[in-house]
Amino acid sequence: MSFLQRQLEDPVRLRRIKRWFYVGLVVVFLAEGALALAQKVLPETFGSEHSHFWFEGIPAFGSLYGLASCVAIIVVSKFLGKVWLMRREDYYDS
Amino acid sequence: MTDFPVLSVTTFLPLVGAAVILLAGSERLARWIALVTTLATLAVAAPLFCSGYPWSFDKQSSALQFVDEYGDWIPTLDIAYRLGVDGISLPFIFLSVLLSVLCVGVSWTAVQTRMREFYAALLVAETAMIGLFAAANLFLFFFFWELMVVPMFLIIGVWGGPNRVYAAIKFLLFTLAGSVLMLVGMIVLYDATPELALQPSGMLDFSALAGASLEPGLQVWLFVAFLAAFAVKVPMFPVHTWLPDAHTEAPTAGSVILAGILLKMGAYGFLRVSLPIFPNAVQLFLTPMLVISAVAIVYGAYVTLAQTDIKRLIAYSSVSHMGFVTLGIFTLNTSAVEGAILQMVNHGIISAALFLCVGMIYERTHTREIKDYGGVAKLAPGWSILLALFCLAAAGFPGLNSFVGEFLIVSGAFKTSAWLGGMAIWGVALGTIYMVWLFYRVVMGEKNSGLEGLKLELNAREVVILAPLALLALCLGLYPECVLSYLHVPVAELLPAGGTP
Amino acid sequence: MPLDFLKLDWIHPGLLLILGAWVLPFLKGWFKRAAMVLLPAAALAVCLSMTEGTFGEVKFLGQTLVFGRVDPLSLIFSYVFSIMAFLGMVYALHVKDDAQHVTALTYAGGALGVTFAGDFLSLYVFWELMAISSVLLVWLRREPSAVTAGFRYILVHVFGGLVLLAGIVLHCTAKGSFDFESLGAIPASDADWAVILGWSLILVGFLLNAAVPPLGAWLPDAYPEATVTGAVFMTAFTTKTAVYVLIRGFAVPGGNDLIVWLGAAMAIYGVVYAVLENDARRLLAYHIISQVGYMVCAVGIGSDLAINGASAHAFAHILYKALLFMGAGAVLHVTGLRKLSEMGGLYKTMPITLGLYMIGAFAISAVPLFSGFVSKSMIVSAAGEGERQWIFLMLTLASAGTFLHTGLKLPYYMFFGKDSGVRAQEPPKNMLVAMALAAAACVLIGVLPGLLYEQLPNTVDGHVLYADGSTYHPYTLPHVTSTLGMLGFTALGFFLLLKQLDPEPKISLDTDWFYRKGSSAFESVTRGTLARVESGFVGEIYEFVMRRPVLGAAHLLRKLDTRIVDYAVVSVGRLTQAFSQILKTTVSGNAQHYGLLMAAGVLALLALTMIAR
Repeated sequence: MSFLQRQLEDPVRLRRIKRWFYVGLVVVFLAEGALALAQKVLPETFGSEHSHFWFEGIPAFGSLYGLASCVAIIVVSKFLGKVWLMRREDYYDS
Repeated sequence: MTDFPVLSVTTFLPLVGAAVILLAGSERLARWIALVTTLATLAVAAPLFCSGYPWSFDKQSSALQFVDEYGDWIPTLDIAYRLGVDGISLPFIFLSVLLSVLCVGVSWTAVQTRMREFYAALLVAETAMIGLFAAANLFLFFFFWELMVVPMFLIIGVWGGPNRVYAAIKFLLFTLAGSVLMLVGMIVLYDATPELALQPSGMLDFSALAGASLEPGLQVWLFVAFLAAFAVKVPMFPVHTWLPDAHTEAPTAGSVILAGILLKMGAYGFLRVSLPIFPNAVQLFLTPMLVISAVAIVYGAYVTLAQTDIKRLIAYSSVSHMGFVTLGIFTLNTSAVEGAILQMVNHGIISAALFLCVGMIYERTHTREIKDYGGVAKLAPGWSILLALFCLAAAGFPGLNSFVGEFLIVSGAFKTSAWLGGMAIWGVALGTIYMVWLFYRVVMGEKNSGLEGLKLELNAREVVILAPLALLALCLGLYPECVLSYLHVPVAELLPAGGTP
Repeated sequence: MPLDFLKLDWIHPGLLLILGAWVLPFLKGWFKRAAMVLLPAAALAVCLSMTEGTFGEVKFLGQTLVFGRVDPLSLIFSYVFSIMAFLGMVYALHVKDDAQHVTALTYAGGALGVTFAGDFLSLYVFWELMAISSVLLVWLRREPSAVTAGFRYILVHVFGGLVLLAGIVLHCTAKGSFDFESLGAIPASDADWAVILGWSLILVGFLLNAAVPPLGAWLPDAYPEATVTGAVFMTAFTTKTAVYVLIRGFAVPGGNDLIVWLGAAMAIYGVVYAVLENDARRLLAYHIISQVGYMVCAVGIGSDLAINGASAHAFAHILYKALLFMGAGAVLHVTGLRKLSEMGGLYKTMPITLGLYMIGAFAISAVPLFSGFVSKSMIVSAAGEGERQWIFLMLTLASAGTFLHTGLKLPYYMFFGKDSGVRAQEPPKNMLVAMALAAAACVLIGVLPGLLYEQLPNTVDGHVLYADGSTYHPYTLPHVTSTLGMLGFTALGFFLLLKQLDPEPKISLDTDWFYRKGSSAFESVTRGTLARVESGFVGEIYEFVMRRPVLGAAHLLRKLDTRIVDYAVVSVGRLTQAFSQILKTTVSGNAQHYGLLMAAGVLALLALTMIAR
């Protein structure tokens, strides 16, 4: 078995990987949030001079927007596909 | 050098060759005599195309050069025998001389019956072609115009394809209908300019006629009379229908001459006769001529797309390409007219090359239907490469000859009207499409089983025939000045007489 | 100067590739393979050793054509094009079909030609050369679907080329010269119609090659149909030369709102369609549209930072997109599969391909330490600088989508996911080497962005600057954390909605519908109606107006001739017989009579005129 197979096919190892993933998400989320708050308190130290928009000041904006974007794209695209765009594979063959 | 009657010899040498062939009686010798004659004509004509020597062609002068005259040719009519060339006629004489050699070459094995008559007819046609472009007065012009019809009729009607008689007669009737009106016009013109009798160049002389200002009403009628002849020859829509049949049924040499030279005679007529002599009429007819040209471009291109026979496809594309030429001429602006003349030369080269290619492969496969071809690339790579070059050139690919001509004409069209420019561009688009599509269906794709076992590749003779045309396509594409430099002075001379610069 | 001894002050690298390409079929064995790789390497060397200036000026039609306009903008694009040509040839070393190599190098040479073109005419020549050589890359796959896709491709590009030509003619006639300089902002509504039309048509011609919707349907249509190695070339050149000419011609400091919105919409459009895609390379093709959208948007923004961003992003994009296509192509090569619904479980036997592919995926997703992170962010920052908040949001949304598809969906379904049972080997060594080199470049740029930044067109002392003069640094704490957050939570969304994303074996409609369904209408017009008009109406007129009456009269005359005139014509007949020896009879006996008629007629007319005098 190759290295990857060992990692992914063993349920114990897989669960461990997933757990680390969630931990990572939480860490990033908190880091972003902390940074945003720190920017409000000490603007110069934490480099906010290049943010131009009000929403950039929202804590953990990147994380939240990322999740929202992902969901939005999937939902809207699938909807468009079902309603209009998706056709049989041989649609163009005459 | 200036005393030697270069033009007369060039014009009538082929006729002498034709006589020799007919008198000699041997079938096998006929093609050799024809080859020698055409090559000799090319050699004799060579001094015409040089420049830079004191005895050679002077690009700076708009007057006729290398003039051969015999003033007392028809004393009762005061018509002189006068041949001369200027910058506009010179490229066509070159084309005529060159294509005649190539026609003899391509018919070498293709024509097996009645060879003497065939090569004699070819040579008579050559005389007529050269004479027409060299004619310095309208009488000689008409004479050679009519002379051209006889050998072409025979070439199509005797040595052509299955439907040749129909095509030949159609060709004859269309052409004669136009010529009759031209004859009437010529006679009326003769009558209207009695003062020319006193001049040494005699009646119906082109330069003298250009100077004579005719009454506008008369100009209109004369323009229409000559239009009938020229429009049929070009051919302009809707009197173009003789062309597909004639081109398709003619043997390869016939198609080459038809597409390469004959069509140009009509446009040349506009440049030589209509524009200088009937300027007021030209102004009046400007819009209809431009519209018809634009229609010819687009209509011709669309009908081309629907063709299934290769020769017929190329024939219809000529309708579209000549539409560009007449469009360029009638915009009456300098760069467009130069582009139109350049395009006439280009089309002569490219159509001739395409018909030669088709003819060569037809000799082997005996079918012209596109569906009988496919995958020729593997069987005949040399032929395919040359065909690719000529298809790209016909499509107006930059770097090859047609691009420059089309570019100049399109610029001129846009200066006149955005609609014309748009239709011209649309014509170029369609042109590219049908050429690419033709190439794709014939050369690429799956190998057609019907081609199994045939030796399709070109032999040395055929490569030698196509080579000069390929070289010309490249040279003119990269260095169009070599033709355009001849045109600057005469076109500048032509246009103030004819219309707006 | 290294080339002094040759008395050349400049070699055109594009011509080097094009001419060198045509020599290739005549070489054999390892000579040929060496040449395949050395040619682009030589081109790269030439580009790196160039000095700035104007070279290769040629007089044509009274104007000056400039084949060698060398400045920082053209240089950076030339570097990446040459590198790409090199990588592509390494990737294609195993291909036996010479035609593919010749066309690929010609295509790359054409791109270099466009890059260095200083005037519109030489631009157009190389533009068309690129169109022709790229369609050959599609056709050379020699499958029926490739054939038809290629035909559609060339139709679209011919159309685009001619729109461009019309624009060039109008623009150059109005300007009086062929020079390819900035066309400026959108012309005022009261300007000369020729100027407005020229500006618009040139823009449309460029936008078409950049695959901007609605003109871009050709890209997802044709790229998946190209050969495995050909597609790698195609991703780089057509669209990026279009970006280059857009920067050169339409990036103005004040910005071009139209182009900004087109770019942003394009970025999202590509991402939306990619959700629905089942064909792996088609999905990646839609991503090209999305990423080029960023570049087009930057052209519209027009500030120095934006131009830098567009150039940097183009550079990075060529490399990571090539890597992605190489990966998908490698899978196609060893398994023959192109649809995601049929793949899965490949990680078991193709770990190296997977790994290299993921580097490309991380690069395109702008993961920190990879090339996309340092280039894409410049564009988004430029949007921020210009106070364009909706554009900023749209571009960020598209970034999330990019990671979703290229970094998550595609590898998941291709390499992981449900096991399809396919056990394929790793692809040939040369393909892996090419991928490894591209991956290395992606990482190198990500870790040492200064290397790229120094080459950008608008740098001051090798630094990229904001409008306010401060230096641009990609690796700032806010930037890194927000990017990681965005990426991480996008991944979360992916895993939550995994079921929704299962690829279905279906196709999605794009704007090519118009000419695909529409082309049958076109054909029925030309084949049917018009052809009927031509042969019927126009041809029939001949029949009734000319042929019947004239031949009828001729028959009548023939009767006259045989019955009445015959007697008088005996002596003329003797002459005719000698004459007809030359004429010879045609199939019907009528030719003699026609010949007689003609000769007699002309003689009579001439006689008449002479007598009448």
